[in-house]
Amino acid sequence: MTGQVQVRELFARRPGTTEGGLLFRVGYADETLPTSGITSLVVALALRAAERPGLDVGASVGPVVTEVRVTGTPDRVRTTLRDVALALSDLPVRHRATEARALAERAGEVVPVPLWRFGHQGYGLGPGRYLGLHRVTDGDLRAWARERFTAADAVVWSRGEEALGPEVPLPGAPAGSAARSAPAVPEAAWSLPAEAHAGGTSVIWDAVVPAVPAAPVLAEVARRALFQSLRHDRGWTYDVAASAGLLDGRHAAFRLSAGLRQETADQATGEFLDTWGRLRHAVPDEELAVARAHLLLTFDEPRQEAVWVREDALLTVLGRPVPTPAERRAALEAVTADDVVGLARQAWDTGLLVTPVREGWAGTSVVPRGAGEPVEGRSFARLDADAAVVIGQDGATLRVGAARTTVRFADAAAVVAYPDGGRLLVGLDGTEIPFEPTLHDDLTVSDVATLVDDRVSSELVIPVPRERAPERPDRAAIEQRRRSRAARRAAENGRSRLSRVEVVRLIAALALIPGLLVAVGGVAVCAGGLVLTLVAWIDVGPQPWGLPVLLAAVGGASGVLTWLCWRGLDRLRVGIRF
Amino acid sequence: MATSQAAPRAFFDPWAHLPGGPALRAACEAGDIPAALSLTRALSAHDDVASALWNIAEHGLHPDQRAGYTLAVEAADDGTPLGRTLTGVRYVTVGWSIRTRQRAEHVSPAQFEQFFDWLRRAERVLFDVCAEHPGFAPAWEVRITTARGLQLGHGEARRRYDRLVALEPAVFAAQRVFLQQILPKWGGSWEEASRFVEECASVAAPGSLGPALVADHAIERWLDGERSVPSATVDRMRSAAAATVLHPEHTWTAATAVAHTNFALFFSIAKHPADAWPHFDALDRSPVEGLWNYYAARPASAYDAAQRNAAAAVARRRGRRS
Repeated sequence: MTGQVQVRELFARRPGTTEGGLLFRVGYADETLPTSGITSLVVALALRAAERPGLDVGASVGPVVTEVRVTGTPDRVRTTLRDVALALSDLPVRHRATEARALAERAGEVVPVPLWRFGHQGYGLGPGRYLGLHRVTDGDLRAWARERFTAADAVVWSRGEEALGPEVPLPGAPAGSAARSAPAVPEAAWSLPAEAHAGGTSVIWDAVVPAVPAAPVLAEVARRALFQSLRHDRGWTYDVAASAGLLDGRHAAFRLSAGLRQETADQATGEFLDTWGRLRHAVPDEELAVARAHLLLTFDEPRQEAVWVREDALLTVLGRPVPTPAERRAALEAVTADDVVGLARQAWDTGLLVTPVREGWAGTSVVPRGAGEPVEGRSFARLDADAAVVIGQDGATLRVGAARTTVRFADAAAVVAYPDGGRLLVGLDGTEIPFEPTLHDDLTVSDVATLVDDRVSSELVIPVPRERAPERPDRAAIEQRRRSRAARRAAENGRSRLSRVEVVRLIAALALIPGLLVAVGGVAVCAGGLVLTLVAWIDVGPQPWGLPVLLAAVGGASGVLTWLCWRGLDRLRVGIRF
Repeated sequence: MATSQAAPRAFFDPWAHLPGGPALRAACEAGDIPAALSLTRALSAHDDVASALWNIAEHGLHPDQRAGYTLAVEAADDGTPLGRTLTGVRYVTVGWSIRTRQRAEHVSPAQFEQFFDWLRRAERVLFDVCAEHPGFAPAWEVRITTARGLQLGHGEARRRYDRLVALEPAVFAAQRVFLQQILPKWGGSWEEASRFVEECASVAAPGSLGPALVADHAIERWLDGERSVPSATVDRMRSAAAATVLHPEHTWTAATAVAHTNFALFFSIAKHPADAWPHFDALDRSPVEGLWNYYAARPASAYDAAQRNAAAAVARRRGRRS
C-alpha cells in the first residue's frame, strides 16, 4: 500500500494471553439523527464477518471512538483483527436486518441525558440511538465503513508475549492523512446547573469538565462521599456510581449517580445533592488521600506499559499527547484538594440533574426546550386533548393547555414519517411535535405532506414503520376535551368560571336586591303614613281607623320581608365573590 | 431638627417578644439592614434567631417603604452565612406574598409560577449556605419551608428537619414549620401529624417547647372543621402548657410568645376561656399573631374579644370562690 497511510500500531509485552484491539476515530457524535446508529451497524456487520465459535471478541461505539477488542492466542487475535479490517473495507450487508434487530434488542434502557445537554446532534445522539437505521441504505453503510474506518483513522494495539505485526487491510487513506479531529463539545445555551427530565430510576449529576488528572480523583472522592451518606449512613440506595469518561479527549463526561427506591426517592435526591454540593467547598485531605490511593493501585501492577497500552492507543487516535506510566502516576500524585474542589465547581456549574421525583432541586429550573417564538399559520385543534398544532411557513408550534413549544423547520433534526401519513417533527433541541391526521378533524394526510414534508429537506425524513395510527377518540372523550378547552380559555381570559350552583345564587341575589329595596320603601312609607295620621289626629281630631290599621299591617309585612331579604342576601353572599 | 415619624404599631407586634426587638425594629425601619444583622448575630437562642430573620425579611419596613427592600437586603448580604440566609428568607417571603396563604386551588398558575421562581432563588442561596456551612442551623430551618413550597416531598422536608435537629435538638419554629408540611392541606395526614406531635413531646427536655406543638395541631383540626373539642384534648393541652410555657425551667424565647398565643387561641375556641387567661396574661399588652389570622378574618378584634372573655371568666371564677 505505498503512498497510503499505514495503521499506527502500539504493542506492549507481557506474559499470558494476547489481547488486541482496533480503535477508530469515529463514533455516534459524528452521526446525525437521520444517520444515527450507522456506526454501530457497520461495526456489528464487520464483527459478524469475523466471528468464530468460542472467539472472545467485542465491540463498542463511543461518542468519538469505536473499538473492537479481542482476546486469545496471538494467531486468533491477528486473524480476527485482519478479518474485521477486511470486512470494513468491503462491508457485507446481507445480514443487516438481523444485526439491526439485534442492536435494537440489546439497546436496553438508556437514560438520554446527553440528548438534554446537546440535543439531537453530535454528542447528544448516543448511546443506543438507532432511529436513523430506518433510513440508511446499504450503500450508505458501505460508504460510511469505507470513509470513516480508514487506516488514517485507526490505531491497532496489542499486549502479549509476542508482537502481532498484524496485517490490518483497512480502507486506504492518502499519504499525509491524519485521524479526523473529534467534534467540538458545544457549551449549553442556557443557564446551568439545570434539571433534565430524562426519566430513569436514578438520581444523576451529569457534567462536562476538562480531561485533567483531577477528574478521576474527583469522581472517586464523590463516589466515596455518596456511598458513605446514601448507602452506609442512610440505606437509601443500593448503588452509587461515579465516572469521568471520555468525550473528545480534551473534555471528560463527569457523571455521578445513585439508584433510588420509590419510598425514599425524595430524601435520597436531597441527600445526594447536599453531599455532592459540599465537595465544591471542601474536600478533606484524608478523603483525598484515600481516593488517590485507590486510583494509584493500578500503578502497583507489573508491566506498566502493558497496563496502559489501550489508553495510550485511545489518546493516539484522538491526537492527544501520550504520557508514560510514570508521568500518569506523577500527575495523579500531584492533584491537590484545591484542584479537586475547583473541578467540583466546574462540574457543578456545567451540571444537569436528572431525578424522577419533583423539580426545583437546589433551586434549579428545567432545561428549556422548544422555547422559541410561536409560529403563525394554520391551526389544527386536537380531538384527544386540549391541544393544537399551528403550522407556519418556517416552523410549527404545539400548544398543550397553556404551554407552547416551537420547532423551526431550519432547526429540525428529523421528520419521522409513518406509513399512515402521521409525522413527528423532531427539533434539534429535542422538542417533538406530532401531526396525526387521525387526531384532528381538519388535518388531512395531504395537508401534512404540503405543510410539513415539503418544507423540510428530504434528507431529514426518516420513514419509520408502525402498525397503526393512533385511534380517533370516541365522542365522549372529544366532548370532555371540548369542555376542558373552554374552561382553560375562560381562565386565560381572566374570568373565573361560575358553577351552576353559583349562577343560581347570583340570579337569586339579583332578585332579592330589588325585593329588599321595595320592602325597605314599604316600611318607610307606612311609617310616614302612620306619623301623618297621628299628626292629623292630634291636630284635627279623631280620624277613621281603617287607614292606620292598613298602614300598620302593610308596614309590618314590609318589615318581615326586609328581614327575610336581608337574611337571604347574607346567606347568598357566601360562595359568591363580587 | 431631624424629624422622624414613627410607624404606627400593628396590633400584633412581631418584635415585641424578641430580645432586643425594639432595637431590631428601629434598625429595620431606618433601612439599616447591616445593623439588624449584627443585632441578630448577638442572639443566642435559635428560635430568637429564626424569629429575627423572618421578621426582618417580612416586617422589616413600613409597608409604604417596601419597594426596593429586597435590593436593600441583597445589598446588606455580607457573604456570611447569616447574611446569605437572610437573603434567602427574603426571597421566600416575597414568593409567599405572591402565592398568598390561600389554599392551592385558589392560587392562579401565574402566581404559582412566580412563587416557584422566588423559592428556587431562595433554595439556590440556602443550598449553597448549607453546602459551605453544614453546621449553620438557621439555613436548615428555612430550607424546611422551601422544601414545602417547592413541593420536594415529605421525605425531603423530614430529612432537612432531621439535619436541623442534629444541630439544634429543640427548635420550636422548625417543629411548627414541619408540622405544616405533614398536615392534610399540604398533602399529609392527621395521623402523620399526630405522630410527629407525639414525637416532639416525647423527646423534649423539661420546660422546652416540644409538647406545645399539640396546640398547633388541635387548632389546625378545629380550622379544618372538627369543631367539637373532646375534654381529653383540653386536659392534654393543660398539661402541655404546664410542661412548657408554664414550666419553671422554661426559658423565654420568641417562640414562647407564639406558644402562649396558640394556647390562648386553643382554650378560647374550646370554650375554656379561664384556661386561656394565663396565656393572654403572659403576653401582657403585646399580642402575638400565631394562628389567630387563620382563625378569624379580623384577628385583632377576635383576639381582643377572646382576651376580654377570658378575663371575665377568670373574674367570675374568682367571684364564685370569694
